Amino acid sequence: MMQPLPFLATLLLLACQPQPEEAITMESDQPKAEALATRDIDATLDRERVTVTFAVPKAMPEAAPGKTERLGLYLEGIDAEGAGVYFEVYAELPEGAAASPDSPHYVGTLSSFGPKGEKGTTVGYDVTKLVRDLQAKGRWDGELALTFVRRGLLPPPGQPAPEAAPGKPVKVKRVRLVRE
Amino acid sequence: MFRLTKLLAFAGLFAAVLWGTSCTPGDNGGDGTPTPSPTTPPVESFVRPNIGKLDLAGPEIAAFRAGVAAMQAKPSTDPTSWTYQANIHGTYDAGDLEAWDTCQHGSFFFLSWHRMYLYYFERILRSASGDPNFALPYWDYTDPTQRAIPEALRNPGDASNSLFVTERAPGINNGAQVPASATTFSNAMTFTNFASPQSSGLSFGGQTVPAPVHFGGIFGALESQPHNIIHVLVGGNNGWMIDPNLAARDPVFWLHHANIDRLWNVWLALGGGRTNPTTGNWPTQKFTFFDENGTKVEMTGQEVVDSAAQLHYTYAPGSGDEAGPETAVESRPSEPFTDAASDVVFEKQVGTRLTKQTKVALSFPDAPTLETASTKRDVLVIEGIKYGRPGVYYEVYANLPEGTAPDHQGPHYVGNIAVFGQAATGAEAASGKHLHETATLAYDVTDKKLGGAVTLTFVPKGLETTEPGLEAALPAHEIRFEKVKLVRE
Repeated sequence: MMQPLPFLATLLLLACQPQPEEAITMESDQPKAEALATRDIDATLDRERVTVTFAVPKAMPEAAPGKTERLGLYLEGIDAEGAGVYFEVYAELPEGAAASPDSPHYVGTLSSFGPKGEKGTTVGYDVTKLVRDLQAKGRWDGELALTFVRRGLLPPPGQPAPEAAPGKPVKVKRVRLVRE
Repeated sequence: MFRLTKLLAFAGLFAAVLWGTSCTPGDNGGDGTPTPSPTTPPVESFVRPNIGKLDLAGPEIAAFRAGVAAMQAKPSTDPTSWTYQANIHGTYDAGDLEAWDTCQHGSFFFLSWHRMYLYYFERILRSASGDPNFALPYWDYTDPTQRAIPEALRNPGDASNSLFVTERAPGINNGAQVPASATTFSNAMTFTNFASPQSSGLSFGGQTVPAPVHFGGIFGALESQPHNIIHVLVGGNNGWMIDPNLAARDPVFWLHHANIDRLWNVWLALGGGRTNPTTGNWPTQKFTFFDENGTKVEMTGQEVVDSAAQLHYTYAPGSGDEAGPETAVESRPSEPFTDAASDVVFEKQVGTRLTKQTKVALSFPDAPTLETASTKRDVLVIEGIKYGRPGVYYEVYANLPEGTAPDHQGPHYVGNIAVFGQAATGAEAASGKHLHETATLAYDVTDKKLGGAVTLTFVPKGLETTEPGLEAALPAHEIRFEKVKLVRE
């Protein structure tokens, strides 16, 4: 005759078995981004202002009716270790034009925070409106110029800038334009 | 039969042991000791203060210093010590103790993990300080008066101040300031999606990942700016804040992340579809921390979606809490509003040329004020803008009082005239006669309640510079516009 205690204990054991996990639906299950242009630029940002030009598709049709689109510009393979500065990024900034975040050419900022020896990080920007504005003004011509303007700490009011050992230049390996 | 009975008895004994401990899937007590749910939060609610508004000699700063000093005095193996808490973020220290090196970056866990991290750190710090009312301050660097790291963290600048460290960027302890463009968060606020698909950085909070990742490689918008930039500028070439394995050893780290956490609440308050993730593993992924008693705890995203209701803290007012240019969803000059059914309040052919290095004022007397109960809005329109040699932009102010410094975050700020286009070259540039493009800009000035005598002030702005000895001289420029009108529609 089976003893009641082991029987009950066995039931408890079975009841405490891990339940199968629910299937997790990830947003990555959604359609992947459409790559429009991928260019190795191997840019070294070692000056106050650096402009990099690369080819982009001349034809940039808008999203199909009923579908929202988002155009993303990605800077990849960023090595900013030891730089101590960041960069403002502009698209098609005219020569001599003021570089200001209020400018319609302003894309965003470039910096990185990661462990030493990091092989390269990525920063993305929503450039949907920027691209469409450039198209509307007839300035989307198959080449896109990105201007990187270096920024760093400002001295306290009335004081000179502090002496600082120059940091390492920031490097950007690749640029990618996608439709998401 | 006897062997089966013994087997069942053993299974029953084993089950009894399990029952006496825990049988909740997912627990990882490791050594078999219970892993409690997040310990009961304190009953009181706390307001995390804006450190720029605190009295340097007041009780809050004193408690902050005392708490940090007490934590710093504990051995690194103590989960409530300064070093142990910092090492949870990242570390080079040998030992690999529980929860060390577990910060989440480059994914949609970035904000939730750091919220949990700060929550338990604050409880530990409160206990260590001896002040039951202590709440972790935040550094509002978007506030133009707070561009230097808080004074309490650099003055006094010696070992007597537990908030002071030398491992920062050169000059930062002497009051060097982070530039305005490093502190803006308007771009992050434009995103209405918290998370983006894996490998996408186009979201407020970061890419979706199938499992926790120490460094996911692609930053969400808020993590990219201002989070990353502040780390870079405060840490400099080789300070603690630039290195994830050392950053949390600098007391400024906690004030910086309190502000980032606060901006998460600012984003949610904007509404417009901005919500926290409810699917996938974001709500349920557990992360490990330690409470003020040194007891290991676990926490999930769904337990931190409402900092007031669940974690019993809110923030004192700061940048982003008031609607203004910084939180505007659209910060670019916009096309004119509809001309339909509009009343022109005043209109003036001005043919104004803006070439001066100083502000220019235009006055329009006797404009009737928009009634308070009116549902109409006032739109200031500047028409026929032409420019020859771009190089500046103009801030536009309405009724800026004489002697008041222009402030794009002040109540008189209207917007910018930012012009662009190919600059004239050669003889055309020399003649100054070739003007490019014609633009019309419009600004919603309803909140300015313009009426009576209206004065518009145009303030030229140029490139900021960090180069020592280089004055921020404005390049030669010429901008004309033909007409200014105030339309009520």
